[in-house]
Amino acid sequence: MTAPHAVGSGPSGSTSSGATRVLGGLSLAGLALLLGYALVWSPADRTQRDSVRLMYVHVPSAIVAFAACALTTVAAAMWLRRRTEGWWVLGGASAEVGLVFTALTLVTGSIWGRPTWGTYWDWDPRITSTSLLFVMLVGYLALRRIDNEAGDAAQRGTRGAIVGLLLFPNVVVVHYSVDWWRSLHQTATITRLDPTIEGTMLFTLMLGIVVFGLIFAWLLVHRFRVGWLEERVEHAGLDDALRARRAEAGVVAGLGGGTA
Amino acid sequence: MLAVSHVGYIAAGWGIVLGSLALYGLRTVRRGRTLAQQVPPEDRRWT
Repeated sequence: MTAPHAVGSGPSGSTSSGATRVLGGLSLAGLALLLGYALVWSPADRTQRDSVRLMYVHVPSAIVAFAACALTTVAAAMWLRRRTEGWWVLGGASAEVGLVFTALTLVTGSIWGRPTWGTYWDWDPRITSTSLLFVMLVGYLALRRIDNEAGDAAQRGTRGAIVGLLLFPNVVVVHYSVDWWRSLHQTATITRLDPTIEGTMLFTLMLGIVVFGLIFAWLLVHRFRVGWLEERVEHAGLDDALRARRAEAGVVAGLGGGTA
Repeated sequence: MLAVSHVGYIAAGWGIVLGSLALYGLRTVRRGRTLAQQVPPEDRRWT
């Protein structure tokens, strides 16, 4: 076990920095504005009435989750190519934060589905493919932790990275699932040239995407730094164990030499 | 006063999202603080 480092305490002994404090402040200010628009100032929908206010949390969660999956795929590919610690840590950080947002996407979608479709759950293509994405993220994170019998970290990383490579292709399936199969979800709303949403509702949705993007960035930076620190602590523990083993071997050799 | 429909669903959806993000963020920051005390300052490149 590594002894606590005295200089690590205090304001610098954390994953915060000037940049994360600015990012955190912007996120909180943006979130306050978003709450105002999403819950008060934006109008109710003619068909869905006020349940449309769940769109401003569900769609941004989904977009951020998909961005996190894309980042994890890039990190997995770069790790397979370069095998550097930074890509390894980034892959784990983006997958974990992505898992949180994917779970929130499924939960808010389920809650929104009840007043809109009359059901909390349906094996709709988009819901099914998003659920698969959730399972793949769990699998990716699990594979990064499971050692094989030989304790080969490189092989463990390779297995995880292969699952990581499959995440973004699944995001493409999620996106186009509404076009490829019959779905309860509507087809593209904001990515087409003539969006089917406008005015305050469109502005609120865009604001939601920006604010959730800021929150994602803040979480990702902190989680990356936590991952980086975990690696440092793990290496320090290994170094301590090696030193203790060498010292022990030296003592044994010294005893052997004395009796020869 | 304006009548708002589906209040329970809206409160549940927003509450779960904001609560979950706050808890996850807090857990991450606290874990970072614990780990940061176990490494020398030169390993915390952001400080």
